[in-house]
Amino acid sequence: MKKNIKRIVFAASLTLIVIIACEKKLNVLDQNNPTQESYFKTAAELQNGVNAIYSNLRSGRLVGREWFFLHDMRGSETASGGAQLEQPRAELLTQPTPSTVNSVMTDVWRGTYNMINRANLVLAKAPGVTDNVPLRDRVVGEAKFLRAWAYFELVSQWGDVPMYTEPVESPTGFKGKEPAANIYNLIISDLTDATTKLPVSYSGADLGRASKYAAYAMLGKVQMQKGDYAAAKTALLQLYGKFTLVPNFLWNFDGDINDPAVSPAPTPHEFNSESVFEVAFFDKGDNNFNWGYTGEGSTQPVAIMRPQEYGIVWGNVVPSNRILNEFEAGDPRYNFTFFEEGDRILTRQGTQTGVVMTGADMNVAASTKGGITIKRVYRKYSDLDWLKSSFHPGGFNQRVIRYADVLLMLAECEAETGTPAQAAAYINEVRARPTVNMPPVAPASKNDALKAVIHERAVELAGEEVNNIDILRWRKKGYFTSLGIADPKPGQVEFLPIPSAETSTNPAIK
Amino acid sequence: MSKQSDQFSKVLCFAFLLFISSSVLAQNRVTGKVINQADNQPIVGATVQEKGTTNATQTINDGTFAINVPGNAILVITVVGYSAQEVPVNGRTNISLSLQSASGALTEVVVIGYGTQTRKNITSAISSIDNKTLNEVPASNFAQALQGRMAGVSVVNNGTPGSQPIVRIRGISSITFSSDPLYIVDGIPTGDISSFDMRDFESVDVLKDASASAIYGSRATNGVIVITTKKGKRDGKLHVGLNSYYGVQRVTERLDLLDREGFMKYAVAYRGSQVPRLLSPWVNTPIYNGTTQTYGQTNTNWQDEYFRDGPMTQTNIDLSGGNQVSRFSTSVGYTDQQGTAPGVAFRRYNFKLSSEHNISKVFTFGETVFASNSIQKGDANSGGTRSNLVNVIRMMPHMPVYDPTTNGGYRGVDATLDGGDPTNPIEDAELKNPTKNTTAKLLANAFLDINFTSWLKFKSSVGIDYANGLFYRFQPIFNDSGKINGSSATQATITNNRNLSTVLLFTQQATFDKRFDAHHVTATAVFETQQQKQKTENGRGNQPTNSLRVLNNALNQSVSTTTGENFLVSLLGRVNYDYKGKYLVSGGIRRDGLSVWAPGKKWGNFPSASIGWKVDQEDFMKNQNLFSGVKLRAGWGITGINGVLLGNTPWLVNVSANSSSYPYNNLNPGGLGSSINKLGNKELEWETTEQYNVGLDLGLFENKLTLTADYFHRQTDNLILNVTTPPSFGYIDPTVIENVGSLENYGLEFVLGYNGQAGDFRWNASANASFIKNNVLKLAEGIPNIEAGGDAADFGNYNVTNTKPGEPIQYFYGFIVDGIFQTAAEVANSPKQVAATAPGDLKFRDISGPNGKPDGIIDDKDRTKLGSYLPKVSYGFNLSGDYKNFDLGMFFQGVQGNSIYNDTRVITEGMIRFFNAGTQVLNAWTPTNINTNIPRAVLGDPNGNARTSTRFLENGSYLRLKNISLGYTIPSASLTSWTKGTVSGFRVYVSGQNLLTFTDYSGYDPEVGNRTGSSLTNGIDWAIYPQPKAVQVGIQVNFQ
Repeated sequence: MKKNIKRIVFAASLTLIVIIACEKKLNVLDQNNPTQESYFKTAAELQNGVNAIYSNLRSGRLVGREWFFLHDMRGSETASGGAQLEQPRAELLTQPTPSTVNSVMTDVWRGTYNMINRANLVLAKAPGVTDNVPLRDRVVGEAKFLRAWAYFELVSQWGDVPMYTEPVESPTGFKGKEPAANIYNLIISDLTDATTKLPVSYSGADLGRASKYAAYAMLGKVQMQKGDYAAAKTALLQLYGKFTLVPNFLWNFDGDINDPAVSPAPTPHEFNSESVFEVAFFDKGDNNFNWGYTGEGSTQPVAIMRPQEYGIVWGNVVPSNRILNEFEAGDPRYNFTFFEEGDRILTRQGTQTGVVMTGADMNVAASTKGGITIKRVYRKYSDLDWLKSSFHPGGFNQRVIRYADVLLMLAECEAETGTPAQAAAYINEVRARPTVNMPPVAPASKNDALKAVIHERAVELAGEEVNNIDILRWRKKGYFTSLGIADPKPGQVEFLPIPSAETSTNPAIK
Repeated sequence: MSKQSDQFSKVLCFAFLLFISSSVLAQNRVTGKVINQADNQPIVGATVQEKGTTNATQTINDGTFAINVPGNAILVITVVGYSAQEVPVNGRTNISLSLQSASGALTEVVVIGYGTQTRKNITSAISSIDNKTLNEVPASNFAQALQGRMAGVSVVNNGTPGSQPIVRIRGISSITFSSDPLYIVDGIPTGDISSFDMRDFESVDVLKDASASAIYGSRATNGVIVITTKKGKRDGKLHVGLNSYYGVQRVTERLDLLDREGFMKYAVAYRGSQVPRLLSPWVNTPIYNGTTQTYGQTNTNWQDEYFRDGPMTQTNIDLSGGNQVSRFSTSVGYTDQQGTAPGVAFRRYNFKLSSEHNISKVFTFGETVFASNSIQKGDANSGGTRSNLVNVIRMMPHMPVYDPTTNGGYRGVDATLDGGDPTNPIEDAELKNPTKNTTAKLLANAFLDINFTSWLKFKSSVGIDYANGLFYRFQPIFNDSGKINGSSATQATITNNRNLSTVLLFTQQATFDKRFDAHHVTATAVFETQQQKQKTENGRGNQPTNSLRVLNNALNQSVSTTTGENFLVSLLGRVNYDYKGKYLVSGGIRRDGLSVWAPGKKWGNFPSASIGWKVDQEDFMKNQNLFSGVKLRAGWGITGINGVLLGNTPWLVNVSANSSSYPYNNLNPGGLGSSINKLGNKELEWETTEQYNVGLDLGLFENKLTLTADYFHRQTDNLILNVTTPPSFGYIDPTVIENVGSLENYGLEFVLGYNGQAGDFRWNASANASFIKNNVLKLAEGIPNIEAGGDAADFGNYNVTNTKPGEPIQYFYGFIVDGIFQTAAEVANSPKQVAATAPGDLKFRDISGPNGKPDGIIDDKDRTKLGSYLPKVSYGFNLSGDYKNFDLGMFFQGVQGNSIYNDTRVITEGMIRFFNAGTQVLNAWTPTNINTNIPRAVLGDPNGNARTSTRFLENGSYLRLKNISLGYTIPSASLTSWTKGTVSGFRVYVSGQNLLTFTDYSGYDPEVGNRTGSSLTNGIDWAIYPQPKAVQVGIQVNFQ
């Protein structure tokens, strides 16, 4: 019996030792990723943090797809291409207000907050980075620019929205709606700070990052939307003379095609002298799009859906009759902006005879200009001059702000705060571009100058996702009453409803 | 002499010593005979065991046995179908005895986890199924054979051949994570049960309540299915069995879809114009060069093209035998099941070997090895939003399936000419989306039993569960001359993903079993560790040709590997006590430490207790004949959910380094991006479920009639929930794992059985039914409800289910339809829907508004509870009988009182976008066709008539003849004489599955699986693979 007790004691001690040894093995950590504590220690890592924000910007939720739909469907320059236009897009186009479950709107909401959270992470980690202070500060400037861009999308489309300035760390860190004025203050403070931290330009592997001038241009745009034209003018004047209009209007939207069927590849005109800020895309040549939408996945496609969505095969979107009829007779920009049936495509920037595109080639509804009803599609960002493919997501960089836009914003500021003649001078710079070469305008009154700005913005920037913001600004200023111009979207709500994806998960918003 | 042979001699010495030590104890050779008390016929295959040891033998053909035991030993004689009997040897050398037949299941031995118990002494809710019943249903996956067999165990078939059915024991216990039960094969926990051949299973015991399952502690909430595999008999003979069948499966259900004529009418009604392909000149153009058949002459029935007969066959050969020293069982099996749709199939090769050796009276060694290789051919699109069946519905009848002039041989649509962009479902399945999942699995264990004394045993075992999975997909270069996304590929894409998992299990177990007069105590103590290591290797790349199907020198190669591990350490103890076999008490506790949880939260305790009272053993029950068995049971226990389901470090915040990119300077990948994509949670800990169970087991008329009834209540607290955080938090993965919420399931289960005999006709009937209710009690702070199941692009606006406290999980949630607007005045005078609402649109009911009252506006506040996918009752009944050499079995299974949200009808009649559709669309509302329930056909469905509403909600009740089989057994006398004794049994049978289904449901199959795998999207029919009907012919042969 004693022997047994000894054995039992021995066995028990052995078990105890084994259990203590096992306790240690319970401390398993993730072996596949760095941790919050070990990463974002160097300026290079912080720069990766800001790269991730750009990656959201070009994702399917934003500029890669739903962002251009949101603006174009709410603006007045598009019409439905036919039954193929999916319901949420058609809803934005035709209804005064979308339902709270509208997926286009919800994706833009998600995408902008993805950018904001990532920007907040970079800004929170920056003070701990000391190895390369100049690079750190530039990265901070970029993060603030991108955060401001995202908040401007939110405040201009939704009004009062939740405002986060630090990364959310608790599952209950809910924020309710912040008054729009406070969000404008944050945007202006971010952009002002960014102008002091960002360089005037970039080269090589940094092309595409936000510059000091991009921050000023954005600041001007934001001030205008807020109604402060004097502050807007001050900011926009920073760019005056620092950029030039490219001689060929088409160079803003063409060329970047990588497809086995197009050889040799055409010369693109990305990052040109007119571009203030553009979102970069890349055509891998594999006809793929990042359907995951979030911009995550370092080997995922980095293409934009615009040429496919607005093209002749999917044909979701066509130019509206209103924009077609806005063009003056003989304005060469009409042919630079639209393709009509009967036009020649596959001309490779005019170097070849190409082929005539027939109505049968075009899976779109017809539109009417000057009494002529035929099929038309947008030519801006179209690849039809090189490729007639059934499916081809594009590599064109999307211009967010180009110098012509800046000049016309300056014109609007001058019309509001200065003289019609000063406004006309900016408008006429745009009209005098060599390939455009339209006669100058000479408005006599403030209202005439405003009308001239409204016309010029339409024909210069048609289909460039600025019209929606313009309409909101002009409607608020009462132009659609005072100028005798019809509201292009009468009855449309000023602000979108907060998506139900947010209201159903955020108890701070009711 | 070499060193090796030196060691060999040491081992020999040791073995010799063992032999001596075991033989010094005085042994008597006892012989005898076991007969049936009723008819004095010998009983074959009865186990004669020396009590408290593993020393045992079995009776042979004439019922005789021989065993060496000490003179003071007690022999225990057990055999299925008879009451066990204990006989003290008392120095005798010849013992004959008769056993009393105990028809009914009250005498069988039940595996209770880390031990066994006779059914009559069980105090918890355990259902069992034996090998014979399993083999009645020719199914490739054993879970299919469980369907409807047990009260409280729900099995829903899901997906393509080789896919795991959805098995739920006593309802859903978790919202975010799969409620799959834990499977234990010969003591080793394993996840993937589809690798096993159920013909190797001797018995399956399902531990349903916590007092039974809590012995598996943290992983037991969803129930435990304990599988015991076949072992050899100790009758000194070789047994060879052959089991084989061949059959065909077929999907006979068809939806009413438009043919070409109907499609043409619908095109004009919906689009306002005919599709160009059906106008001149296309309508008269041949469908491809080299044929005379035009589009106008083509009328493809896409359902008939898609569904095809799927042959299935399965063969298993097993060989077993044994004697007093050793026994073994080995088998090989082959399963091949072709799908009823193109591209899907399942094939499996099985091998099994187990043996057991009584080294001495003290030591017994045994091992079991399973090896299998399964190949599941799948369709990468079968679970997608636009599944192949969605495309079968949408594909235009004027389009051909095949086109020999294209690269690849199939034909796709041109959205401009054909009016829409469905993809060719047959091309998708056969050319573009085939996948192959190959899993090599090795599951093995070895154990050593040490019998210190007749009442104290020790068992040490080691187990390994190794799985090597390879997912391979080849997407070729092709061009189907269509003009939509996916009409062509200019590069071939190869995906090669490997997944390795190794689980090592060490178990040390001591068992005490002793009688003290009328007291009987059994105690078990276990120490166990389980470690899993995983590795994944994902490779992908392109090839410029279809002839290279590997990644050698591929373009755009990308490779990613990850590694992970988890560790579980457990201590457990259990004591069973019975007094005079009347009063039964059992109690246990398990303490688990799991690496998955946050630091400081790693340990959890899982206690259980149960009591039983065998009323029939009381004196006052002695003088009656009505009740042959009466037992009352009650149990309680706490269990957990398998934390490994959450991943290895679910609480940890990680940086996704270099996981995104931006093409600066138009270079790819340009700059790499790093960020944090998900919130973490350092408070994360065990989810626990507390369960009560009371039960009654009754046997009447000498157990001819048996009844088991159970009531249970289980409440899950600390419910682990993947809480969706607001999009404004900005995380790419907007979920965080939290312990929030609580949930209850409660219900009643009944099992009734009857055995009857009239002359040569013997029959039995059994029925089971369960009534289970589910209730969500609490959700995360700040989360009033959770919606799920929305898919606006294809299935209409709004989510389909909602989960909130006070209601059952994921009830169907949407609008109520109050008919169709007939006039503009009616639209104007009704609550406002949308600006575009017009006559012919559905009128939705105004239920609520911002103030909780109807507000004259139809918006998302007007959604309400529409129904539940949970049946009020699930039932099964089995009728079987045999007459002379014929046997007949029929098994019905059904559910009653549930709803199905038939989202497939959004595709057939929702008219969201233009495609081919169901014939219902021709009955759409028009000013001249007002007596209809189909709303107007209008571009883009501006009113949202296809939104989630009562329109698509259907009654999901069904009764199904799950299996019917008729067999004939050749009489053994003739068989023996014909085959000169080599064949001892021969049965041939035909059987059929799903041959009859009674239901009002209008879709393909009321047995609706779950496309997303989430616990919140059950009962939504998104047009997925239906259950086929099947017929088989099979043989069962025994050689001796």
